[in-house]
Amino acid sequence: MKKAHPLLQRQIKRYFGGQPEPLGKWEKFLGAVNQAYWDADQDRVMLERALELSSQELLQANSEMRAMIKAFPDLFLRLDRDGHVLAYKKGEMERSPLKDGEPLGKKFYTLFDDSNAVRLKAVFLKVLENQAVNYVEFALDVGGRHYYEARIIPMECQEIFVIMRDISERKIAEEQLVYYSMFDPLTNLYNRAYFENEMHRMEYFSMNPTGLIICDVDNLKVVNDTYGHDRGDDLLKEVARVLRQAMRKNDIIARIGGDEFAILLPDSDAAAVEATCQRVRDTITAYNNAASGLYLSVSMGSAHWKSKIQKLDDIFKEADDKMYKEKFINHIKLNQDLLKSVFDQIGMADLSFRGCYQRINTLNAQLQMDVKREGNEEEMKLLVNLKKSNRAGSEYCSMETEAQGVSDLDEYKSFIRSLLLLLNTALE
Amino acid sequence: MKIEQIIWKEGTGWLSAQRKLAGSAQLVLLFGAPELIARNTTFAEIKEIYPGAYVFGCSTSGNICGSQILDDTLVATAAQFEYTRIAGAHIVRAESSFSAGRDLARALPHEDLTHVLVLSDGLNVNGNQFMGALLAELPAQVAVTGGLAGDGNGFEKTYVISNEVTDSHVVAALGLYGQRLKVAYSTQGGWDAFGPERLVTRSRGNVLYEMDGRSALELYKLYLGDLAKDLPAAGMSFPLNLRSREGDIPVIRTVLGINEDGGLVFGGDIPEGTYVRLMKANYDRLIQGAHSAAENCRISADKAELALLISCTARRYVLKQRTEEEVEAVQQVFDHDTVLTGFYSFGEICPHGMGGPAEFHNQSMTITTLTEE
Repeated sequence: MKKAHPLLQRQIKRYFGGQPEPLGKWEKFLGAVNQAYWDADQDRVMLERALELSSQELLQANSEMRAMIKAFPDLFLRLDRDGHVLAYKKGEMERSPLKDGEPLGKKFYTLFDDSNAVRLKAVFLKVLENQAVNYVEFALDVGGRHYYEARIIPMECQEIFVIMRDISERKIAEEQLVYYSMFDPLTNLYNRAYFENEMHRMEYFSMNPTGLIICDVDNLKVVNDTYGHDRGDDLLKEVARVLRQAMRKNDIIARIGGDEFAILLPDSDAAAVEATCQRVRDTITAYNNAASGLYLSVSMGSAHWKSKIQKLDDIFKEADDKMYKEKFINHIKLNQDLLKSVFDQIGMADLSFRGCYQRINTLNAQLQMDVKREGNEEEMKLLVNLKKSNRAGSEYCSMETEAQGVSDLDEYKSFIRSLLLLLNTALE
Repeated sequence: MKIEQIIWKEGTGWLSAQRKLAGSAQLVLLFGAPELIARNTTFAEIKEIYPGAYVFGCSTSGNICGSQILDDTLVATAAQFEYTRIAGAHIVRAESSFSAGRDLARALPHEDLTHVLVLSDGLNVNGNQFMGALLAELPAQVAVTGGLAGDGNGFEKTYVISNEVTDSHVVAALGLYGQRLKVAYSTQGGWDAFGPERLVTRSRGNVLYEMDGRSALELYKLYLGDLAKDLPAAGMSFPLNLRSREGDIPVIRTVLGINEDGGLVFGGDIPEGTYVRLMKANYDRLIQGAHSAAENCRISADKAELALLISCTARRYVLKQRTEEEVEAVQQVFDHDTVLTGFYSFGEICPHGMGGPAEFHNQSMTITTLTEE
């Protein structure tokens, strides 16, 4: 027989006064009893060990869970199956979504305003039915607009756990992302990506004729270089305002480039497109007549999409080409207007361009002497530019009687820019 | 149906009060110690007694004969069906557990098939893959029950006998045909999950490496203390309760071995991402579980002529001297003339409920009853 278990030894001692001799037919029986004692001991030790270890593990898990709950600023609620709050942690939100008062024992959705209570109750019931996590987002006016997310989680013990967090920052960021993916922040018009999506959407789904207008702000670069980018931005905002004023509500107006705008005109035939262009021109004229600010000039081109056989990309190109043609003509006209406006300011209103060129040469020489005297490096640079400009100006003057007037636009632009810089400097 | 049982013991050979079915038995269910099943003479001896019978059985971790549990024996249960036909099939050393299941199902005629009993090698078959492929090939209305062969607590080599074939790496099926055969089945556990739930973070098939990032083997060693030296058998004290998602019916998985790379080999898949909890025996519930399984069978089929009990070897490991109580609990439910046979296994196969798909279990008592009407 295996070594007698201490309990069996004691029992034998108590009831038999020591080792029962001889064991005889009892030996097998006592062996089985002895084995059962040892087995029971082994099981007990193993189970006690398991109990202790698992208790330690659960304590550790409990402690981690408590630390986690404490670390999160969220609101936690533990509910029974009827939605009564059994326990809660208010959290450290800037604005709690809960109504004032003690939440314990109340149905959790009654802790919120009526409109959100209905939604929260519906989601709660859904969680009970499906036994799956569900969540709901809602907004509350609690010292300003705040957004919250409630995650409702079924627990295995038939209770429900609710985690609520303030997601206002995330919602605002999301809204901004959506805004920037659709809009041009300077003008609040749609951006190029949105415009292109809409264009393709119309191409695929629209059965009706669609118009397209491309607008380009004339001489934005001159304004930027002369008056600074803030004034240039102001000019773009004015263009956006004018376009909005001239368009219908369902027209899609977008800023698709630095100085380029495009408008999609749903359900518009050729006459409607032309009428819209004219409305834009009229609005600009009215603006220029009334405005005391920057002179506004926009080159426009339009096209008309008649059937699905045509591709909108081709229509776009057609409108774009027309716009560039108009821009070329506007360019000369605008610069004449601009020069006249500038010369008006310095008393040269009756001078021809040729006369203007001579006057500028005189100014140049005078300034050159002043600069040499003062030794101002920046002004020296300006004079170098002016000399270059005068060369371009000379060429321009020699060609001014020719048809179209200008062959080298870049040099001509450079000349005008230098003129304005000179004039600004002189006026200062 | 007529049934009789004979027992082989060392020194006495085959014992039987009467051998009335010697010339008429169509089936012999044979369960025994691995070294006895694997003997060259065993099949011949059975065929000598029951020449017309199909021999279907396996090595075990204990044989059930009536309310007794016998070791170092062979228990043969001979059946003579009045209306039922049988057909056997087996696959030896299949390429994979999947192909074993698929090919085994294809090897059985499907027409008029009522029920399939399956016996499988206990150590070299992935129960989940095997069952998945088997069920995919069998007609949907045919239920499958059975078990994995055992080899005491050796965990070294198990055998399946399918008529003339006795070998390890064998899966075998017995098809039962005919509408007058009533089959009932049920499976019950009786283990309690305890301690924290753990996420399976590293596993491959039925080999578990890590739970919550901790070594599974080290965790078992910690919980077993001094008994860790008896791994993998000692691992049966703490099976795993496994569930895939909240609300799923959990299944139990038993430790069957330890890989050289430190992975714990279980009786079924432990997929990564599932949740597991350690389980411990609850003696009363284990016995009550066996009783409930029998009652479920009784509810499904009022009468049981033959009851095939397949109980996990882990139950025997923890119940020790009390193991027969679970067999007695089963016997109490059935009539006195119900013949009980079966074995302690390395895995059980049975649907969760009547009509459901068969599932692979560990640590359970699975009962299949057969009656001809």
